[in-house]
Parts: sequence; C-alpha cells; structure tokens
Amino acid sequence: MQISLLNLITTPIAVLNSLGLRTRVGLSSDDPMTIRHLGESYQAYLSIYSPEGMFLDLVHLGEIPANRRRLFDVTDIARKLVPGQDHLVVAHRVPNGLLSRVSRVEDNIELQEIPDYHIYRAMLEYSYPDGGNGGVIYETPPGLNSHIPGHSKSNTLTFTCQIAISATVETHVVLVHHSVNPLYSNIANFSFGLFSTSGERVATKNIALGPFSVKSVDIASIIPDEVIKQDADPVDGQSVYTFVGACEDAVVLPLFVNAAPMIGAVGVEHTHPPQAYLLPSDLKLKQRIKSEASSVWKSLFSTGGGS
Amino acid sequence: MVSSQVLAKVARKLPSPVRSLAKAVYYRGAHWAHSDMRRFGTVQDLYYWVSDGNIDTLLLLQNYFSALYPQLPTETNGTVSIYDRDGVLLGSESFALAHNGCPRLRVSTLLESFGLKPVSNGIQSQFGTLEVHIAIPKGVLHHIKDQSPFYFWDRFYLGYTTAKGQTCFVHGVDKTHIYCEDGTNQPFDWYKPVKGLCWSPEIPVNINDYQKLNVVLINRTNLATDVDLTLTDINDQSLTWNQSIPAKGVRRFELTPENTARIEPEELRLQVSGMASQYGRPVLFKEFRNGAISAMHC
Repeated sequence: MQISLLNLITTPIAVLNSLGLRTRVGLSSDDPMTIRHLGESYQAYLSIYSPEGMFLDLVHLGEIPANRRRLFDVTDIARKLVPGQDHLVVAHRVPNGLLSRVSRVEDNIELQEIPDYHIYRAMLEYSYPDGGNGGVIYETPPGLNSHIPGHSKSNTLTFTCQIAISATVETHVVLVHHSVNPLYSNIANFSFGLFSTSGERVATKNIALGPFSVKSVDIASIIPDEVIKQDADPVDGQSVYTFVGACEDAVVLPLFVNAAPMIGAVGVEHTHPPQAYLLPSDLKLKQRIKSEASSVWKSLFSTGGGS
Repeated sequence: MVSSQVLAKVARKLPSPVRSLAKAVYYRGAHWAHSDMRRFGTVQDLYYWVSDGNIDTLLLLQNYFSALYPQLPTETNGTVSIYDRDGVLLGSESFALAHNGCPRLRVSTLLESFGLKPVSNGIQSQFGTLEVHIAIPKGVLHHIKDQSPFYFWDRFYLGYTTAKGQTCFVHGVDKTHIYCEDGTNQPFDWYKPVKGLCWSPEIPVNINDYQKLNVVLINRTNLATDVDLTLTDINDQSLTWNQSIPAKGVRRFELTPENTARIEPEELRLQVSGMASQYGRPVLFKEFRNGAISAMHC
C-alpha cells in the first residue's frame, strides 16, 4: 500500500494573526503511551497555506531527536509568506526510519500496512507577547475529508459550552477546513446556532469555508448587544452561551479561543465529535444519529425555525 | 484475560460482516464496551475543581442530548456531586435542564451551600473532584427503547475563571462510573485497578513561562495508587516527585522555576508513571505571573 509520509503524523493549525496571538507548535518524538516506536527520531515540517487556501510552501522545521520535545514559533516562520491575516498551516512529523527510504519527503512509500501513530498529537499554543499562553493537543482525524470515490460524504456535528463574553473576556470560534487529500476542493457550508442558558436561540450564522482555510468568528459580534447585556451574570458580568454547529459537506474542526487581551490571557480547546458521546452496542447507530442530527440542525439554521 | 486477548486477535482477522455477527453472539445482549453496561445508561467521569479565592470552577452543563436529538423533547435533570481531594463527598445538588438549556453553577457557590467556606477551611477544601450525572431524557429513552444496549458518555467541558475576569475551558478525557437507567442510581466502576501505566505528555515545557505549572492527576479506580512525575531536560538531567493518590482522589504536582532550578528550563519533558487508568492522563493547569491562567489535557 502506498503511504504519504507527510500524511502519517499531522496536525492542522490556524495561525491567528488577526487576534494578535503568537502561534507555536510543540512536537514530541515519544509515543504518549510509552509503548510504540521507542527511540525513534523525526523530521518536522510545516505546510503553509495562503488565507485563500492555496499551498505556498513546505518548510523543514528541524529534527526532533529521540525522547525530546521541540517548540517552533509558527507565527515567526510563516510571517514572510503571510504577514498579517489568519491562515492554515499543517505540522508534519516524519520518522527518520521511513524518511531514509525515499529520496524526497513528498514521495509516497510502499508499506504492507499503515504504521500505528494513533494519538501522536501536536500541541498548538497561542500566546500574547509577555502574557499567558493556552494550549491544546490534537491530531488530524484519520482520512479527514479524503473524499475517496465510493465512500460516503463527510459531515460535521459539533456542540460545546465554551463561550463566555464580558468586557474582559471574548470567545472566538475558529473553524479549520483541512483535508488529507491535496486535490480536495470542497466548499464547507458550516452553520451554527448560539443558545442562552435557558435554551433560547440567540443567534445563527452561516459560513462558506474554502478548502485548506480557516475562519475566526468573534461570538460577541453576532449576538445582539442587548441580549449579551441582559444575559450577564450579576456576580462576574459574564454572559455564557452554548454552541451547536453542523455541516453536511465536509468535516470542519472547530477550536474555541477564550481570550482576555487586556490581561494578556488566552485559552484554547477543541470539541469532541458527537460519536464520542455515543456508546451504542450497535456501532452503526453512531453515524446514523450524527447524520440525522446534523441534517435537522442544518434545516433549523437555514430556515430560522426552532429554538 | 489471556483468552479474551486471543479472541480479540482472532476477531481482528475476521471479515467485517462476520466480525459483527461474532460480536453479537459473544456478547449476547451485553455491551461490547463493558460487561456492566446493561440496557441503557450513561458513563460519567471525575473532573478537577479548584476554588481558592482567586480561581474558581465554572460548570456550564449543556444539555448534550438536545444537540444529538434536536427533534425530540430532551428536558431532563441532573446532579452535581463535589468531593474533596481524597474522594470524600462534600455535597450534592440537583438541577433541571431545559431543551438546549445549560445550567450555570460555580463551585464556590456550591461549597457555600454545603456549609463550607473554601478558602478558610484550608487546602482540603480548595481543590478536589466533581462528577455530574445528567439523566437520559424520557423522550430519548422512549426513542431508543427497542434498541440493543445503548449508553451515552458525557465528554464534558470544565470552566475555570479568575478574580480578574478571565475564563478558560478544558475537556474531559476519561471514564469513571457507569450509571444504568434502572432507578438504582448506584454506579459501577469503569476501571479495575491496574499497575504500571505510564504517560509521556507531548508538551515541551519552558518552565520560565509560568509562575506555577500544576500537573493534576485523578485516580479513577477504587484502590490508592503511587504516582511518579519526572521532569527531564535536554541534557537528560531529571527531577522526580512522588505522591500517593487515594481511591477516586486527586493530587497535583506544583512545578515552578524555583523548584526546578537544578535543570535546564527549556524544552523540558514530563513523564507520569503509576497512572491508575490507561487514559487518565494529566490536566496541566497553568498560572502566569500576569494573573492569566489556562488549562489543557495532554
């Protein structure tokens, strides 16, 4: 079987220049479970895309020797190609043992089976200059938006409570639209709704997202000011909301950035896919429930109905 | 144990349709994920709370059933239980969830309602674990009543907020209890105690970035466990700390530039040995000199 070395261990990352955040990526050469690939070292690379989703360059970041961690300043590295806008980069790790068998890292390699690098994740870190940082660890989901002929179309359902808004703190939902297929060309029509603590829908937004692109949305910008004011907690002044998002064209990865620029504080977290909430003994139900819910939510968000 | 491993190996070699049939015969009405998962129920986890007068824990309890079943009535109710660092119950509170609703609770307020003043009562009441148990809504139970065993795993997000007004969130990672919807409300443990589990977090730690970096570990089993945390620098010099975590308890290792001054401060790596459950990996709770905080799993 032909394996793309650059697709073996990857993490798509949104560089958030528009929020004034420095983006770094932390990479490890260890299996987090300390069982597999002991003593392996890796070469690290960064694919840089334009804000419109055009591939610009593949940069060699350096080696991660065995049993080591490396932290790379992505903002600094990508600045010469994309100085001020938000855009996608992808961090790759390639095992030295496999790299020695090809002439170029872009080459595919013939292997009997896909090597097991499950949960080899990268750490994405955002920070303010001289401020705090927030990090999150994740990897590219297997076969993300691969669009292999004959396979069912990808879709997204996502939900979370990670929204807090006040004069101090702001929440940005960051949508990442990536694929393991370099020829991928889908537009993702992502819709989401925001709900108050009582369950009332307070805002809806529809976003068309090109391939290999990212989009950051300031949640406070789409909820009417009077609603935010009315929902503010008397103790801490924060208005909190829940989020439900759906897309029937593609898998879109959402990140939630909670930032307090005046303090120099930032946190970032991903969401869990709905399949992770479902433990049916009949596994086929996972995908069915997700698809049905995604379809209902898309319908509600496009018609403006339901609460 | 050996026979189940052999069966699992054989099963992996079967064609997919045959594997599904073999699974159905093997489990005969029980759930493939756990033998205590009969009929319908939920899987819940323990989470780290802190309430020390500066940092407080914020619970935003989203009705995730509404997201999964938007077409069904999903009003339901739930209970939040707060435990101290040794796993001793401090108190419980019930709440109602509307369809798409999200009750908002603060741990400091809950502790006060239990008659506890978190700061003055000392360290025992400043951090611990909590569990939230949201019942499957009646409308969802009715919808799945004719299906084979079906469980919901509340993946959860926990909020932390500071006196300066910042809020950050971290997701759940693991499982602690199985609750069957049979009216007993008596949970089963997800894990049996095991020994020798390690975790090697991917994060490169530059300790000078932090005022304090808390490495938080929860023991999800019913047996105390001894945990080592090792911090190693680029010259392979290391420091090791040890703590015993009681059953269902929580402990935190507090790393600072001062107590790690003997090793190089950049691109440090963490290793946890003696973890009580395979996916019970640490929460890193970061505190910065400017008063900022953040939390992440690794």
